[in-house]
Amino acid sequence: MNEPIAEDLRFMEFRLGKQLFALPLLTVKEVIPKPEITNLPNMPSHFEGMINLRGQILGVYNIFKKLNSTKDQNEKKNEVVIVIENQENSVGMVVDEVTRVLNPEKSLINSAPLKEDDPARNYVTSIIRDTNELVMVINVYKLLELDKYKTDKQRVLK
Amino acid sequence: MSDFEIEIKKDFINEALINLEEVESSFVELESASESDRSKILEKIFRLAHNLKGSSRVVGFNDIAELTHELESLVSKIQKGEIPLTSDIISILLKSNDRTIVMLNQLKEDLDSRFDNADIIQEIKNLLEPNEGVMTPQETPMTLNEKVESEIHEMGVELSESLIPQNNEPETHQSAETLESKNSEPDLIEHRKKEQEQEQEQVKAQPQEINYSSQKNESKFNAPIKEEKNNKEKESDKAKDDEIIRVSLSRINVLNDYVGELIVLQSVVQQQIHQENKNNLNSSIRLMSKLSKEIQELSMGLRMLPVKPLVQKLQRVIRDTAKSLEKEVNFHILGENMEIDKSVLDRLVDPLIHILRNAVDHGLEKPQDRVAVGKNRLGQVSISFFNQGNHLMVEVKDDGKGIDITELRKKAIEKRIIGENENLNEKQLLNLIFHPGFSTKSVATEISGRGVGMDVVKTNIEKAGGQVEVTTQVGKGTWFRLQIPLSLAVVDGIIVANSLYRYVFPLAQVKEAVNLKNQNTFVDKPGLNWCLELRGVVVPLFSLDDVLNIKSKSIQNEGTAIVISVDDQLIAIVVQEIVRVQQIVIKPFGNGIASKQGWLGTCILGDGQPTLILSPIDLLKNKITRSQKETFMPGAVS
Repeated sequence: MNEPIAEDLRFMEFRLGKQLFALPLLTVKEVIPKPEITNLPNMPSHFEGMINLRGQILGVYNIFKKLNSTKDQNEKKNEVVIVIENQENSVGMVVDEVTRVLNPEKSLINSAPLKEDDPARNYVTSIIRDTNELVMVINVYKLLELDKYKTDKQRVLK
Repeated sequence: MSDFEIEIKKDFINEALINLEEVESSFVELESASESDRSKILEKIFRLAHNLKGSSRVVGFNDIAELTHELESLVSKIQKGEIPLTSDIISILLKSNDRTIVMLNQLKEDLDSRFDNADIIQEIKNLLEPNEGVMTPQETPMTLNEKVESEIHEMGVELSESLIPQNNEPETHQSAETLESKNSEPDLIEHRKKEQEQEQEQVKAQPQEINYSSQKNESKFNAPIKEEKNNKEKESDKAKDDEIIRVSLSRINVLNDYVGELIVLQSVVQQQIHQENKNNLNSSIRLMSKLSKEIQELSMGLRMLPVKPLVQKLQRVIRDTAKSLEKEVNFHILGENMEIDKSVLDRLVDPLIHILRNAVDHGLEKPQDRVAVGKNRLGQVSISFFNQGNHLMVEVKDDGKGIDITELRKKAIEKRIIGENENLNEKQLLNLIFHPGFSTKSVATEISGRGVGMDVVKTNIEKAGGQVEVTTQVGKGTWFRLQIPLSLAVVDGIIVANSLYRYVFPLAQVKEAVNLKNQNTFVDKPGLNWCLELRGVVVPLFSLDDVLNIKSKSIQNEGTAIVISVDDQLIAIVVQEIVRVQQIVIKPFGNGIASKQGWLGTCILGDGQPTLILSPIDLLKNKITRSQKETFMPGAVS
């Protein structure tokens, strides 16, 4: 629904372990404290489980592994779930902390200097130069391979 | 094309499809109807053709208009008795009916579609021609044509009135045209006036008749708008075109009342929270739960549709099959006024078509053969719908030759579906008819014999959470019994827990639950691993953790075995404990969760935690085929 508009240069910055990442602000539907997560059997390792978000059941992803971040075990308590809008689907992803909303000058956004064979090329769209930090902007849809999990809504109710 | 134009075209298509569906059964009825009923039915068909012709021309679907015009002339000749009503003619009527539906469905996709109906039109014309000479002198072809012309205009007015009462523009436009055409041929005015009067009478008669039929089953309110036949196309199209059903206003009003009450009650509760005395609060909460249950029932009721349109389709199937096989069939229907959930109804269409086709094709004998064995030459096929507990039951019976089990066994061995020495009981043998690729016919015909149909029946019904049962008696007939949960969205579930998590099984699948503590279980039996002896039957056991590939501590000799039946063989899944049994609302997958084999959906438990709903039958299906291949017959019920 909320396709990021070209002119909108706001990003939500979040932290995984010690690294900072950002995603276009308009792809974010809401941020909630991490609820209890129900595990599902036989799922890929970056799938954390499902949660009940006001009567809607959402799949929640753990992107630490995908983004090669090391997880600080002591920090588990403060984790939050970023809920991402994906057409009529919503999914969640667990992050350590949402730090701020970035609104950088256009000149501060660079394309990511990644190697040809780096798998990150698939989902890192650009980097933002901040005062003393580099923030990677990721494309969540590609990162989570969301088109694989197309809505299955008609299956049961049809 | 303007939005308005598109709108009336779409409205026309939907209206026309409903009308066609209502009339479809009439064609079949024609054949068996008595002389007096016949004229009534013909009138109904005539009105339909006439309506369609007029309105389709107005909205610009000339291909439909052309065909229905010929159809109208044909029906009117039959009405006058100029053409005798033979079953060939009925076939042509049916064919035109089909063609119209095809055209409408295609137009739904693309409003600019064009069609070539020359073949059918020629067929109809051939029927009309020989009688040309007998026509009454005042009805020369010329006047007939003009009469039609004027009717179109009249119909145009009727159509715009019925479709777009809020907009007068096209109506006045059409009336003007009608007037014009009348003025230009003053000598015909009187003639037309008479006809107009007749037509008004017909129009008056129409609502009464619809009321009559709708009194019984409210089909007027609940008739599905779309044709099931188009199902496959629809599925691919789902995203852009949502399905529509008609709901009676009174139902919505009742629902609104309840929701209003709930909202009042909610503010009452908010006040009562602060009161010292909690008695009032308790009773309010009880009232609230009662109300929400009522609302849930009502909202589920919105999805209920009568089975009548389905039955009409089936009538058609029987007729066509019987005709092409030169068999004579008497089709009985019981319980056609039942209402069932739309999702269930949709899933029933294909299985029932297959079963009925098979009943006529494989079951019933040819008339002469029937007479030879002392049966009535008219074969009897009956279908009945009724409720039993939480289930919809559909029974299909025929009085044909039944299924010869020895023959079945021979065929199965021939097709290598079972081994030569495999020892199957009668029920298991009979269930082979559901095996994919199995057919007792040696040659596949247009109607049956490819061995796909019965497989579809079983898969479809099981997908809907139901079961199929078949019994047969050689020489007497076959009896199919479908058992389907009334609704797919709310089911009774049994909440179970393994070492880590809770899961839900649909209660309908569970045969019984056995506490393993006091039972004798056998471990490490070759080919079986772990099994239980239950009243003389060996039941293989599988732990839920193993089935789901969860590593856990072994729970052998404790826990509870949930016994289910897969293809008439008992098999059990072992869980640590049964938490409780409760009604659950199934939520479909989505939101980043894809369905997997054995997963039915998700639901939210009383404590707000989401849980997976599993289908033990699907989870264990693979296990049992494996043990079967190892030539062991687990849990054969004798």
